[in-house]
Amino acid sequence: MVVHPGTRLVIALSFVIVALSSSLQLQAVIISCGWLMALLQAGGNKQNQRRLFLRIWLIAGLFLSLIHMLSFQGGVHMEISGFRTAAAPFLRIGALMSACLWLVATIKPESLYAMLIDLNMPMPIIYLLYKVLYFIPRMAEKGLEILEAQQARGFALAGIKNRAKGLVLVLAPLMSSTIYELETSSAAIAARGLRSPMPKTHLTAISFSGLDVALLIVSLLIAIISIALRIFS
Amino acid sequence: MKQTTTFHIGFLALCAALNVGIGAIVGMLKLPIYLDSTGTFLAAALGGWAYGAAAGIIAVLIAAVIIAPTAPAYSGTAIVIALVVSVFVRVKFLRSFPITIIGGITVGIAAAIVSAPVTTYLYGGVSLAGADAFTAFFKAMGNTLMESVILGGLATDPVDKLATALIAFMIIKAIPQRVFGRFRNGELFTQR
Repeated sequence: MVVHPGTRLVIALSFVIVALSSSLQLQAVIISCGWLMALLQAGGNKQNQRRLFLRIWLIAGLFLSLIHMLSFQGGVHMEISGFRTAAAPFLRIGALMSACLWLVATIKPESLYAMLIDLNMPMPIIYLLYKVLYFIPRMAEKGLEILEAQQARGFALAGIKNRAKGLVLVLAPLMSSTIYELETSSAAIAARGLRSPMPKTHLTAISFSGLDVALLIVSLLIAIISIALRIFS
Repeated sequence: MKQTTTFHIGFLALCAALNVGIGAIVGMLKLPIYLDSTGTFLAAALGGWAYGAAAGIIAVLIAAVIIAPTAPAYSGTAIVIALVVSVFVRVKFLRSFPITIIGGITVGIAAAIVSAPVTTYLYGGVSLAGADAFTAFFKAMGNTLMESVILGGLATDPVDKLATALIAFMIIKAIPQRVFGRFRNGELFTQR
């Protein structure tokens, strides 16, 4: 099913609105469905992210339980009355996480850039987003390379003091080399007319179909109805 | 900021990526800290508060889809960090070691106080950071949720921001001198 990334963004937003404007019990059902959808979609190379998001959500649940239920007043015990207070933010965080996981699993970066170009978003902003998403994995890769090189020179990952020293040994060359790389690439992209007012093109074909229109109408209607029910009930 | 060039946009992206990606490097070294404002510190120190705030906001937006979807609510914290750094940089922050220590702790206190209402009212007291264990402890001791979140933040944020300031101090020492000339506050760092 080829759905426009803009439609997917609206569907995710509507999901969060519907989930958060429902009663606690209904929220639990809606968010469980959301997680199921997101987990099914986030297969393949998104499995790490799936694991990370689930782990973070469960850790949030654990700490919310501790924050709202644990008491030292009259001995260490758990107060069951705090469960409902802990459940609301747990579900709220779950709604955000499942929506984000679903978006990440279903929108390819090139489709996102294509959509932004079609929306006439200023090129420097698109370049900025592209560069951030490029740098994040690149920094981790480069950081590992530098760490291995420092270890080959005799740096040992032993003791907290040594590991803290390792942070400087990795970050200093990482930053100076990345800045050097950035100087070259920014000069190249400026020379290729990043700031030229001419319309930009992209190779990824994305378009709004009848399916997109139907999905947009349905998701927006559901969101509006759930907000109205929340206000008037 | 001097006239914004493609390099400035790229450096902004680098600072935002540093905020998000430093977690992987810290993880490789198995260190119990976050340092997720290092890029904001660098951007605010070199390009002023607006440049730093932009780095911080972009980082939380990107972190939302990569690490924690709860992050964008902390955009206000990123702005406050950039503001405090840009004020302190006038008095040798990230250039003099003692001022860097004082500034780092101050930024940590400011960040803890600004983050507290978001953590309390939006996420029920959980920040998905090390402060949560402290928050649970202070809440169990009988404090209100807001007090517990503030106390939890004050127990962890100054330490983390102090470490962040020290790392930013070291990174600034490693950046080639000629790069400073491109930034509004660059002359402050070329006179070291």
